[in-house]
Amino acid sequence: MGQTDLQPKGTPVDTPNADGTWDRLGSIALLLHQAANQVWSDADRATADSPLHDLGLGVHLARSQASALLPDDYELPDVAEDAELEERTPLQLLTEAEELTRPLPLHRPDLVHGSQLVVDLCDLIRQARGLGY
Amino acid sequence: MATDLRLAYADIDQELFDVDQIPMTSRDVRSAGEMLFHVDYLARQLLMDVDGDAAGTLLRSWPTMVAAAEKLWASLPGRRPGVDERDRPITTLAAQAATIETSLSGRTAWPGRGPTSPRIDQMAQTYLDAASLVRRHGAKIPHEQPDAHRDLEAARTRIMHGLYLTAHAVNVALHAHGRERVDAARSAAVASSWQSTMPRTPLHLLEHGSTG
Repeated sequence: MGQTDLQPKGTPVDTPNADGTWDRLGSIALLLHQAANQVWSDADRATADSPLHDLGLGVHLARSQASALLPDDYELPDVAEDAELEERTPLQLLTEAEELTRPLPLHRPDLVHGSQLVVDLCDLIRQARGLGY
Repeated sequence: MATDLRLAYADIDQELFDVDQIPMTSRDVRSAGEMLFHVDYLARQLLMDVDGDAAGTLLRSWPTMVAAAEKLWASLPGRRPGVDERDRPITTLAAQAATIETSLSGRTAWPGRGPTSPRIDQMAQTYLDAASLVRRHGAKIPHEQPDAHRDLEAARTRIMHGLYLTAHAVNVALHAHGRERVDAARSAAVASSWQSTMPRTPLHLLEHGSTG
């Protein structure tokens, strides 16, 4: 079948690549796990009413969202295996997570909550920028 | 002559490096799918740096974007005759946006007349360009085939995804604007209350007039 004008060149609207999708979501979950830990570490050094506590919770919830989209039998790689993550700031980790969501096939029924994850990541990036990250 | 050239470059510097604009120097060769991805990208950028100052412009532009999305949705081939349940999301949204547009027109209260959002306007134009492209070539799409049918469903989801992100951005801006107005009103009330409790010193009497 010839390529129709509805299929973008190199970026098809429908991308049924389940393995690539799950690895991508797994990476997103890892990035958010690291970001949440870093924000909470900073929150521990801040005052009790610091907005960093809310941000840390928001990042943690986004991580849970990403993990919930994964199949039950998907195994996330060990966080400790990627020491490079610790060198990045929370904002860099959040930004990378958001960029990884762009090719996700959000139209698939098993990714129906993907749009909400995108919204939450953009909100978190805005909040992180506002807090000086 | 060299001085004239430097002035010419300075005139277009801003447009050359404006990340929110794509200078259309030639025919748009993007596919409809690529246009939908671009709307997604623009909506994310908007949501990542929206604030209360943008509330008015975003609200003015929102109905136009929804109308453009509805046109793209309607242009997609494979629509069933009569009322199609699959169209409910966009028809509901379009009705709400039309109500907003009606409530905005002809009023002097906030936000009133004024500029629209260049970002949302660009997203709306992209939807219209995609609709135009689909109308030109839609007859060739074998929409009854599973692959094409899946592709069309994906396009509908992408349209709603772009609208969802943008609607959330508008909401965030409106809430921020509302908070700013409440904070400003409280500050004014506190300042007024403090002034009324000031001791009546000779200087105060001199400023506000003696009452006895």
